[in-house]
Amino acid sequence: MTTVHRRHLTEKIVILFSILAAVTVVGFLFLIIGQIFFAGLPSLSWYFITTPENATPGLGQGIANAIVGTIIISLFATILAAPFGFGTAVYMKKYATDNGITRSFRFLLEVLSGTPSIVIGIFGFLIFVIYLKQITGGYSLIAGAVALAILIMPVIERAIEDAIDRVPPDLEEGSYALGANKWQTIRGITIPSAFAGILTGLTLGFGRAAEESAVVILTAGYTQYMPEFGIHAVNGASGGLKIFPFQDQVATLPYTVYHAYQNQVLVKPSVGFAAAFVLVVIVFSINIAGKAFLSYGFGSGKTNEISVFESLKKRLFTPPATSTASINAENAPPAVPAAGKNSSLSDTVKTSIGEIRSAITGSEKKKPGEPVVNHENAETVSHRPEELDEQRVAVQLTDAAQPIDALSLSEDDPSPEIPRKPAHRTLPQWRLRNPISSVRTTIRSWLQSVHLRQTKTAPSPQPESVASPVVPQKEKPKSRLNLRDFLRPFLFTLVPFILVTGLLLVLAAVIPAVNPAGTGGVLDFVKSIVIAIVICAICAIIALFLLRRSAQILKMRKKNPLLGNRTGAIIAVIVGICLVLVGAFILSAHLFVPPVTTVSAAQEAGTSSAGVINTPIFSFNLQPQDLILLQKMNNPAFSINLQDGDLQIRIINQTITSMNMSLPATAGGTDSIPAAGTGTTQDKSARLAAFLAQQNAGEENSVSAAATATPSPTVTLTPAPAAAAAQNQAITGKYALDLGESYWYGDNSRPCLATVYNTSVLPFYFWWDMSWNRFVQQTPAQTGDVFLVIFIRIENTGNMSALVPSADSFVVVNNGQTYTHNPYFDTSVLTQNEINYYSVHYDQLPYQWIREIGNQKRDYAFLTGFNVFGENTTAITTFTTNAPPSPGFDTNGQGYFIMPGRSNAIDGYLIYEVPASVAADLKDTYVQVSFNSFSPAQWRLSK
Amino acid sequence: MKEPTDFYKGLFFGIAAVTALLVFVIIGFLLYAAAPVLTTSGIGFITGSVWNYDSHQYGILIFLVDSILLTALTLVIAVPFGILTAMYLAEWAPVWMERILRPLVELLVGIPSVVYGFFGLLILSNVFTDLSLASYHVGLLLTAIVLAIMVIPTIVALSQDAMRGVPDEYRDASIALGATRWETVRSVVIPAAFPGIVTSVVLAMMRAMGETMAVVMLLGNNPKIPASLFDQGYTMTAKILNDILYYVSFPEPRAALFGIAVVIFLMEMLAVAGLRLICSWAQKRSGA
Repeated sequence: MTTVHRRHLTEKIVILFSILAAVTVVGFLFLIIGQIFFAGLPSLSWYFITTPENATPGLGQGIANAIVGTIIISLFATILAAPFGFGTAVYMKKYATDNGITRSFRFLLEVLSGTPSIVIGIFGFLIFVIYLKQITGGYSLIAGAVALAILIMPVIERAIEDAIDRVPPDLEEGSYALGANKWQTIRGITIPSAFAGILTGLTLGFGRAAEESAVVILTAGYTQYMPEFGIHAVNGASGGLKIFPFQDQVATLPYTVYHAYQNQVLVKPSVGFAAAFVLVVIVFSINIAGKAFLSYGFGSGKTNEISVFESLKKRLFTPPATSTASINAENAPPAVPAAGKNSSLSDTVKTSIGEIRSAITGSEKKKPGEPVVNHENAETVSHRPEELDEQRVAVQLTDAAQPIDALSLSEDDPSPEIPRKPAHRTLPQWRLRNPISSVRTTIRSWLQSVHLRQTKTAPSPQPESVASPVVPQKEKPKSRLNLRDFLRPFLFTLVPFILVTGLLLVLAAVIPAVNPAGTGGVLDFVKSIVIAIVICAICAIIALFLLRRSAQILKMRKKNPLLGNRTGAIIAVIVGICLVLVGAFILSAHLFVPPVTTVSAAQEAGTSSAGVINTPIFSFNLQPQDLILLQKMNNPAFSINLQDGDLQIRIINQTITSMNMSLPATAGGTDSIPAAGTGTTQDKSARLAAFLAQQNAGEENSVSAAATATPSPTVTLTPAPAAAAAQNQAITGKYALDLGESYWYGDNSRPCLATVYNTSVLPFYFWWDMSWNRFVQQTPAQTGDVFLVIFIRIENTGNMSALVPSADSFVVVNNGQTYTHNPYFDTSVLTQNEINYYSVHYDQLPYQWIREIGNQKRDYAFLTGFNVFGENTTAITTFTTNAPPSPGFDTNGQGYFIMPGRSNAIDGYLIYEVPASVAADLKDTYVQVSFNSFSPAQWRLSK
Repeated sequence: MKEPTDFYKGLFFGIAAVTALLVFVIIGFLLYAAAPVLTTSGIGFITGSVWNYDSHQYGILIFLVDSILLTALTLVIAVPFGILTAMYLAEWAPVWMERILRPLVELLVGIPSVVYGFFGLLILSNVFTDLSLASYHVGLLLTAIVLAIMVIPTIVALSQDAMRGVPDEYRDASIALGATRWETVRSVVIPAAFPGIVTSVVLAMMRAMGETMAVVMLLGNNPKIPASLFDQGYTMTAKILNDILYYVSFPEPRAALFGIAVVIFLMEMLAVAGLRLICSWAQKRSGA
């Protein structure tokens, strides 16, 4: 008994754990989607979605460019990959024999499908972006599309192979039996039958391309602008011409999210989350659409698609009372999960017999309506070879008008419409076991019942014209079915689209009202609503057109209810949706944005061997109204010839090492450029100076617009109270040392030496955030302020430790004003938890990291006594990674001890934000230190 | 016109051959691009633990070990969850629930990795710091958890398919012998579906190994071997992505970065080969 109990207990526990695991896994889906949505909510707005980034004030405030770019690049990648995926799949499934070559092909395909995206990324980067730059234009749509095509080709190939696998072999055998050769069979039977699966494969490939980030970062680049269409003359392009959008950089949503990660100081996290949410919605819709194709199409391998079909069927038409029983019976198998989940080969074969009969029936029924059939063949993929048709004619001649229908029905179609065959309403045993074939049978029987009803009411080749006046009673169900018939493909293809559109509209209506920030005010909101209405109207017009088209197709389909005619309708719908999406976004973008000339510079750096740039690499002759976008370049040097007029320059994500700008003397003799917007004029050189001062002050700069450096919290410098200033004034000049002179301090047992050896005035600086792994660009809190950086070296003089004054000990004195170091907590960068954490574990900000950055002379780094978190980092500056940090001890707030390692000195920077006026007269500026309470020192910052 | 079959066969063979040759092109090009450093460094490229552009030392040991560590930890987290979920879906879940859960799990596959990374960086990491667990804002365990979320759907979908593929006769026989459902699963279904489960795990491993974006965002990019679960690291993929844009115009660093790509590619080829071994073993076993 106990054993039994234990066994059952074990079972219960296992089930419990399994349920827990399943709930966790699914819970994470909702957690992720929900968190992303709510985190992105503040930025989600119609304006955000329909505005390209270049039209927005900040960085990353609009993603229309990325949405359009994602769709376009994925589309091109799919188009490029489709022939290869398709051809390979057909070869592997239909032609390949099991020999060494095939097996190695299979292996190579698996290798290709498993290749990490980063590998394909740098492969594409070096080949398409660097080596083939003359053709692709460097970072470009075409480079990205080719690289993505390599990535998604195995996905498409695998899906098409599966689709071909699902084609019942009997159909093909029938084709062979009718004398068709292999290609005719593939073209006439396999491809049409597998079409839904092929479409699914393409859609999944599209989704895979849309979600990929590493590849597009390395090959497609990024642009803030909407894709342009046209050919423009561009300096440096091959032949002087550049074909847009193919040779132009293209923005993608994954890159937008990555940008939000890279530029966390400048981009609000909600922007990244909003972009991520839009991306997830797009990818989900694509994937759901792909699965819908599969379940809507022929033969599916998934049990859950029964539900799709059943619910749709229930919604679309009320089954005749007699057929309810059979439908219920077919619903039964899923209730027996274990049984329902297995489909054996024999089942498939049995089903397929019915299918092939139905197929033959279908194609024969097609015969009578010649004009319609021809039209239809032009529309669909199901081209039939002539021999097949001849064969069928022969078959038709020998058979009576009815038998084939009857035969197929007698085998597996318990159509309630045929009272002659009541016995077959009892389901055969195998149907209970195979839900897929049940679905297929249901489809077949339904189609056949429609067909039968038609032939009963209107036996003539033109049923519509003849039947309706004669039997008006019977007309009703037919027209009802008509409507449902052509609604069906739309439900499957449009539902995700409608959901997305509806969601966006709801968001557009709700969110700006909740959070108007990020939108351009009421006018913009009204404008965007108007645009939304325009877009919806366009959608409606196109949808109506597509409805009409698909109604035509489906009307024709009645003649041949089986093979693949509705794919025409599906394709029409998809193409239409893509056009609508792209067109709508381009339209809305153009409504928002005045057209600009984009000059996207290439990225390849050219440096001399010494790493110093000698000659300009990029040279632009700009015209008024030109807008130049410099982005993603490494160590570029620019030569820019400016013209009068409004010139807007944006520098994206780049450190510019040198820039030569020259202004030609203008004809008018005025040495001024009208500033944009304000109508005032500025001295040219002043503007240039302003530009150069600000060129790196933000990820994005605009010369013509008023420079708005992104304010961010900084080491603020506040004038000390007057009393303190007066007290500090009392320290006389005799303590003032010149730059480079050292000052002894400490005591006899621990003598130390301090030197202020350099100073620098910077418009901004970078510091390296260790745990977030990125530079944080620090701009002044007040526009116009600069940073005064004081380089201090404190040397140990032979003892094992030296006393380092805390940064609080330093003050800058200028004209009687004292500026004190004021540590800050940047809550926009750090969470409070991080601050709390680093306040205790400041020793986890290794000093040598900052040193490395400094050695690379890439940027300025921040360190010394106090780090940006307001904590002292010098206690662990041992200079050797393997020596454990010395704990040190606080000498009454005065400083910390260091243990020298590789070097006997510690270099530190003190950074103050000071008004530009202070930096202007460094001669009268002193850095004043109280190393201890009784020995102050003062350095003069300039001789 | 008796040729068409041969023509089309040739056409499709050509396409398939181009596709297959693409792999050789990729690996050949990677080797070509990496040759300058691979030849000078030799085996030191794998065994060296110093990566310094200034001193021309290129050793990827740290990155390699970090990649392996991260992948292993990911699998440690993902495999139990994945297999338990698959087991539940395949064996115990009511049909309606399976119909709901399965597509949801498959949807998880569709979330772009950059979104996972962003999510992990800005949301999940706060959970860690809230719990005062992590010594860094980001680190090994966080990355592994995010990667596990990323690969679990793969494991669930493939394992569930494998378990579902076990004939019901096996289950019936086991239950008829008096075994409970769990005993059936443990001693009949899982052994029978074992190759499929292993395949799913290997595929998940490949995905975790090749993942770039989330790792760049979450692992800290700190070139050391993590000392603890909360320590930082730096994987091979992240090294490539972080450095290639800076160093593409310098031949030697570029070659070194391509050397990393070669290593990744070879590891991936090994995994695929292992996968094929498993498959052939399974075929042999089922045939026997």
